[in-house]
Amino acid sequence: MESAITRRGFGLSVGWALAAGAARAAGPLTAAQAVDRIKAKLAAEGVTWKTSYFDGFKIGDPQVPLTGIATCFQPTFSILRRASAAGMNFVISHESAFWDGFDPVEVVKDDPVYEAKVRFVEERGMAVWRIHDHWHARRPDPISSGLAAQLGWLSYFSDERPRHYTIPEMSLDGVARYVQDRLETKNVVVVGDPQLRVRTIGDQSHILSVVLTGLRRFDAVLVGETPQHDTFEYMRDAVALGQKKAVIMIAHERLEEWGMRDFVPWIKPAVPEVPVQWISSGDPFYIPPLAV
Amino acid sequence: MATETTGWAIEQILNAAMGFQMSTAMWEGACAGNVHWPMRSAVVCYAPTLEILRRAAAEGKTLVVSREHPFYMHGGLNYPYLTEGLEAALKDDPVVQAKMEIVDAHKILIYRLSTAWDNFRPQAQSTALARALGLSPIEPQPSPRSRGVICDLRRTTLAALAQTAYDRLRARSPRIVGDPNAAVTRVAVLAGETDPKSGLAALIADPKIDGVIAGAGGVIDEVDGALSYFQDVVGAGRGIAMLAVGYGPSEEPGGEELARWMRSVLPDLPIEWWPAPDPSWIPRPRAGG
Repeated sequence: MESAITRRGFGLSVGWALAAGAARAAGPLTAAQAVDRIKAKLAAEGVTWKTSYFDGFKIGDPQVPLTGIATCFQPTFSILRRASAAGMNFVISHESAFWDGFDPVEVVKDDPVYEAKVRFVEERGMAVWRIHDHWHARRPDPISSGLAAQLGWLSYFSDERPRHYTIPEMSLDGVARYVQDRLETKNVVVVGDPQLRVRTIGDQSHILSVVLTGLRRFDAVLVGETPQHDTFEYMRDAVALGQKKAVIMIAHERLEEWGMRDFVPWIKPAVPEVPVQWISSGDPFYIPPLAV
Repeated sequence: MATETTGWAIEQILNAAMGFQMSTAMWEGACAGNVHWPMRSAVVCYAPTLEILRRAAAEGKTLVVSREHPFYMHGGLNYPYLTEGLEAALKDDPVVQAKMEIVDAHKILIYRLSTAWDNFRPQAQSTALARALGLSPIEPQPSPRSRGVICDLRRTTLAALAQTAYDRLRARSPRIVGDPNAAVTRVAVLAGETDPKSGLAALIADPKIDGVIAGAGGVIDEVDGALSYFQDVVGAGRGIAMLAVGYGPSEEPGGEELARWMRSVLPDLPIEWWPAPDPSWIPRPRAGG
């Protein structure tokens, strides 16, 4: 048996278990209590909760009694509707509620879509809480390992920075088609020679300065959204220069939502009072068939 | 033989013609080369790619006027995050060096004219995109200072317009958010990025607008940008969908308009518009597959 409980780890584990037990004894589980258990569980793994621009409650009352927890990539209106329909009134998301990493409520508060979204949550006794930085802080990063598992490339994956895969060699076209199949989407946009032989693939998002760290070391970089006006143009020029490199762009959802699917088995033991389920965002982009 | 002038002199003429719109936006203006080099002929393009610079060198073009920055510094007031650390990351980059070598060897000035052009003709890029797709902006436009334009069109679908984008813009990776087969009769056309979200919200304020044709998202295509907002507009129940034709393909037609205008104020300078093909592709079903 390989599990090794260190003195520190054991103490922390007991700590989060006790925290969970104490909350159970106090009555119906609230969103705030569930968050306390998440923080305790993270602490047991060595991830200390710190001030974050991103993580925290975004909509609704933290004291709402929970009927169920839905994890997701981003709490879009569609996700909120589906969570509500499934009887889950606590939505835990990885990305923002209001269309910017920082959830700038002051900027959007007069927007009718903002008002409708907040009203929808409040009228149904729901709450939305975001965990971005602290979920990424686990090792291995569950967002990356979740993608690796979905791709069927877990054994090819290295979590060391820059994160990457070393796969059995195939063509760039073959890689792109494989990604389409595994991620169940046609939305795989590529810049590079389709016949390029690919053996190493970086996992670097989302801006060119970061993508470059992978491009310089690996045959291709898999990126979940990147601005086309710089990354695509750099890639075009690199190929024109003769570099045997490529960029493969997928939706942010398809890159990262698998890590929130893995949040479910992770949190379930800590919140036995309520059901927990993942709601897939799918891919927001539809690729129309074309007569080419 | 064309009259010889300098980049500096050309800048003064353009600036005066635009009513002194030249902005001090970061990463714009003279980006590579020397404004005091002699200029004999010009090329207008979306992106000053390596291929365009090679061709410019081969054909003796000395001025390249572009929408984007030669070294990928898009900048923009809304999202400096995009260029954070990029300048340092590109130091000693072989791609940048290859472009600089052409610039220096052939005394080519690369001049980025983007914000100033948008300030001067806010709707030029989107109007050019609309016309390239066979659409006509309505007259008068409800918001003349908006970047986007509104077009009425014969009942169609965004799926059909994606084919038009493929055929006419040579857009290789058109994508749709929302129902691709819903009927559209009034669309907002917006070259480039859909950000900022407040701009997109204002552009589609008319409830009769049932479609958007744009280039791409902004800071990051959807999650932290206007496309995630758009998903919620759809999710809130509005019958609207978006066709993203690709950033470059959406901005290319505007280059032709810029070249046309530049010829009118610089009649002695030979000016050509050089569009570049969309470098992206999406794996398509194999024949018989």
